[in-house]
Formats: sequence, C-alpha cells, structure tokens
Amino acid sequence: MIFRNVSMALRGIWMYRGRSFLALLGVAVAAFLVISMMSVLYNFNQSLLKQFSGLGAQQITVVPGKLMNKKAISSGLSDFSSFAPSASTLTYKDAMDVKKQVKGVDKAAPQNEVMGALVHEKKGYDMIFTGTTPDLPPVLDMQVAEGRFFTREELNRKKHVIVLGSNIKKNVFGDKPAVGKTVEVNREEFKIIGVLDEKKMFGFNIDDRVYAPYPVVEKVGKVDNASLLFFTAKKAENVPQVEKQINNVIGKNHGKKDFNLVKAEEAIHMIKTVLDLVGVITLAITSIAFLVGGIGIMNVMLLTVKERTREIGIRKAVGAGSWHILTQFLFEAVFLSVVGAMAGLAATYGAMYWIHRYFPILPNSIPLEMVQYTIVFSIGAGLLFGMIPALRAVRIPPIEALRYE
Amino acid sequence: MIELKGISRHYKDGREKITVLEDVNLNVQQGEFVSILGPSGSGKSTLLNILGLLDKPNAGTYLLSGEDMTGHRGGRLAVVRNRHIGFIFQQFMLVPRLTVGENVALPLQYTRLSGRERRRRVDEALEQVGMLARKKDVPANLSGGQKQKVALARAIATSPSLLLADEPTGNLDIGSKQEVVTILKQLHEQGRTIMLVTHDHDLARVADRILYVRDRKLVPYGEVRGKEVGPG
Repeated sequence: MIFRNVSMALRGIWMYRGRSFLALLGVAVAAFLVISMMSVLYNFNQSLLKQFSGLGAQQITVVPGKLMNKKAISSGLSDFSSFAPSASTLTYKDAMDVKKQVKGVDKAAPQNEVMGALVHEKKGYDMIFTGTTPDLPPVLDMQVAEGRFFTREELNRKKHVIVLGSNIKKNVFGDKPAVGKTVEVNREEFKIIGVLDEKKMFGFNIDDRVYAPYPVVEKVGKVDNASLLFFTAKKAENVPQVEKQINNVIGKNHGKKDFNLVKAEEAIHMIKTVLDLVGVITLAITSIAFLVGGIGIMNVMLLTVKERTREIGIRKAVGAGSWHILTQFLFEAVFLSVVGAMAGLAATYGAMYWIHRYFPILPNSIPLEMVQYTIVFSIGAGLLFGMIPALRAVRIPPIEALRYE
Repeated sequence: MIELKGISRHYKDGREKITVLEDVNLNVQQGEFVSILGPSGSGKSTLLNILGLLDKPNAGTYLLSGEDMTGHRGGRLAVVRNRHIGFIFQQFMLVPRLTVGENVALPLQYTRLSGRERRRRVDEALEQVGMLARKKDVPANLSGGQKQKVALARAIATSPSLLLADEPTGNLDIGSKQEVVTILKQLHEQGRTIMLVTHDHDLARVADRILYVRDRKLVPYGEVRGKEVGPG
C-alpha cells in the first residue's frame, strides 16, 4: 500500500513538474545555505581546535595588555574581550627570568617581530622579521624542512643567521635551494641556515615569517619589546602553579599587572564559545531560509490540492479513506523536501570542494551528523509544511469535490 | 438490501432552509433494478449521493445489507463504498492524467488485493465492457460513450453488489446510449442491484421498478403517470 502511495505521489509531482521543481529549488537553496554555513563553521572550529590542541596542554602564553574587568575573568568569552590593547612591555629578560626562577618551566621562547623586507638579488620581499630562541620550534610544534634552526650558541653570539618560513622560501627562491644563500634585512647580511615546513596556525602566521636570534632582530629591526612570551610547563598538572609563579616573576619585573596569561585550553574554550554563538546565530538566520523553502512547498501543495479537487472526489468515491488521501499528499511534500535537501547537500559538497581549494586551511568535509540532521530535518519539514494541504484534501467532502469545476 | 426510513436532507442558503428530500422511505431487494425519475433539481441525485454514502442525510436511517450507515464516519464509509458500491456518473469522472487501465484500477488500489489480482480484475472489467483494447489510452483520446464504458468498468472492478448510476447516458449519443443500456442490463442479469437516476423516461423503463421524486418524497411511478408527467 505504501509503495502504491509513493508511486501515486511521484506521478502527482511529475504531473506538475515545473512548479514542483521550483518548490524543490527553494528547499535546495535553503538546505545549501544551512549545510554549507554550518559545515564551514564546523570545519573552521575543527581547524582551530586542531591547531591549538597541537600546542599542548602545558603551553602558557603571556600576552601584553591590561585586564579591564576582573570579575569577567571567570568566563572564557569575557577573558577574550577583557584585554585592552596596549603597547607591549614584555621583554626578553622576562622570559629568561621566568626560565631561571620557575623550576616547573621547561621551555621559554620570547618573540619580537617587525614587518620588513627580505632583499635577495636586489629584490625585496615582504616578511615578518621575527626574533626568538631555539625553544620556539618545539613549543609551537614547528618542523624544519631543510637545514636547521639556529642554536643557543648562535643566539648568544648574536649571529646573523635566519630560518625562512615556507611562503618566504617559495616567493624568494621558488624550487631552488635556499640554505647557504645570503640575503639582506635592513642592509645587514644574513645567512640562511634553514627552511620551515608549511604550518597553518590560527593567530600565528609562521609561513610568512623569517626567524632570527632574538637580540639580532631587536637590534636590526629596532624592536623594543617582545610581542609574546611562550612557555611550556614540564608537567601539565603543574600548569596552575607555574602560571602563578610566572605571574609573580613578570609582575615583579614590571611593578604592575600589564600583561596576562593565556593557556591553550583557555584559547580553545574562547574559540568554542565564540563559534558556538556564531553557530546559533547562523542557524537562526538560515532556518528562515528553510522556512521560506517550506512555505514554497506548502503553496505548491495547496495549489496542487485545489487543482486536483475533482480527482480527490473521484478517489474518495471509489473508496479512498482519509489516510490514503493524507499519505498521498504528505508523500509528495516529503519527497519534494527530501530531494530538495539532497540537492542542497550535493551543492554543498561542491561548494566545500571549492572553498577548500582556495582556503586549504579549512577542511572540505561535511560531518556525517550534518547529513543525518539534513535528512531528518527535511522529512520533518515535508511533513510539517505538507500537513496543511494534505488535511485540506482530506477535509473536502466527497460530493463537493466531485462537483468542483 | 437497501432500506431508507424517514430520510430528510436540507441545505442552508444564507438564512433560508431549502429542503430537498423529506421523509423518504425506500426498500430495494438484492438484485433489483430500480429507476428514479424526476425533473432537474427534484433531489434525485441527492438521494443517489446519500445511497452512495457521498452525502449524509439530516434525519432518518439508512440500512445497507442490514448495516446502519447513518452512524458511521469517514473511514468505514470509504470501506463500504470501495467494497460494496460502484458509481457511474453523467460526467464520467475519469482522472485525465491516468490511462484507461489505471482509471479502472483506481478502486482496486484501496483494497488488499495483490498486484497480479488487480491486473486480472482490470482486464476482466475492461473485457466485459469491450474496452480492453484501449487499456493504455488516456481518456482524452476516447469518445463520450467509450469514457462511460470505462467508468462502468471501474464501477464493477471491485465486484460491488450495488451499482449507482446518475444520468449515465445524459452525455451520450443514441448509439452509445444503447451500448451502455445493454451493459447495465447484463450487469443486472449477473445479479447486481442497480439504482438508476434519470430524467429520461425511456431509459427508466429498463428497470424492474420505477420510482418518482415528487414534492421531496419518493413515490411509485404509477401514482404520477398521466398526472404531472407523461411517460416521455
């Protein structure tokens, strides 16, 4: 019986294929918007979490800035919005003092940076000239593709050696080897000793950077203070205690609290909170699109019921019960909704492919749950928006339906 | 088979109450062929719709094969219509987008019969009315007479015991009318109860018994013959 109803529904749709296609298109567009927006958000979220989780639970970052609202510190989102931007007062000495005085600290990597140009064969290339210590690669999980990173000895001797980010290497040397070559920054010569592997990290553009010993960048780049201080605790369980001690050491150096500490976990929490909020807003907006698509189906079905009033009368006269009429029209509505949603899903797969092509940092996957929700949601929408037309068909008295011209 | 007791039907037109049938009583035996005559607007089609469970009376009792139909709601009425009643309308009432075979199969879709049995019954019904060769045609390609024969095939597809025909030859030429009458006679000879509503006195004479709708009531034709109307 169900098969016969489905068959009747499909024939009904085929009969009014033009308008059925338009109704289906409405749902497809709505489904495309919902799925693609949610998938992009999901992938963005996953990408950020992956990048931050790579930092490890032991990582602690010191950022410059004043805490505006002390009460707000309890919520991750408030943490994020509670720093007033200000010039950094963080120093190389802060990082070194922490490493010396806090026993729980394993690695310390201060970072200073300045926008500049890398000159090779009289041609300049934009880059972020970044100073740090040999502790940075393990802290940020950076891998060296060619050559090596600079050593502590080179740091202490303020050697003019540099390591290129992958984009800089590509821009300046293409496929040719870079290690061993000489380049200039601010008219001072530097020897390239290594090239980094490509690494996508939210908030830290590693590929467009050139790394040199901290004191060298301080002098050549004329940078006063560190922009960030990276630390790792020896043990994850000691992080709260280490944080306290870092606070004390840097606070003592500065004589005031003009910096703050961010843990990878807190950053993840912040990002999740923000993205959850964005997700809810996106879902609310795109749901309106689904509502419009659903209303499109309802209109088409109402028109169909009206045009097929006499057929409904004939069917009732020959023995169709309310259930048969109801299911016939509901099947039509659900079919339109589900096929529309599937078309939207297919379009989303296409869109995700292109987005991934231009923004490789975003994965091009659509989560399986999203596919499941789409199917369930489209069936629900079909039932919901098909119900009014179907009930209208059921309620037409057979004799009135037969008289309908 | 059919027993009507004190059936009344009225409609409301604004504040005005229009009574179409009033205290109608009728007894029809199994296998009987009864014609109902009456002028246009006399209420004979309303009576047929009540007999076919397409319309409900405002008062009275309708027993079909001993079962009181006036108390039933939609679901049971649909089942009774499907299993026990076949309709033939003046306007044929075929679904234009379906083929002849599919139109005849329509009532069978609401039974529990297998696909094979349904196909067999469709062929059998079309064979009986001489339309099997046109099974795959759509109604638009048929003449009025052929359409009515298809409607007849649909009416008998579920082998109902009661056939209700509302002006079945009203839209047909003389040749087609004769063919339809012949088929109705055959169906009656096979033991079916037939109720025929018409204003055509010649057609009415095919029946065993003729009734007349007069003053919203059903009376034997003999009581009115030679008074208000002639035999046409």
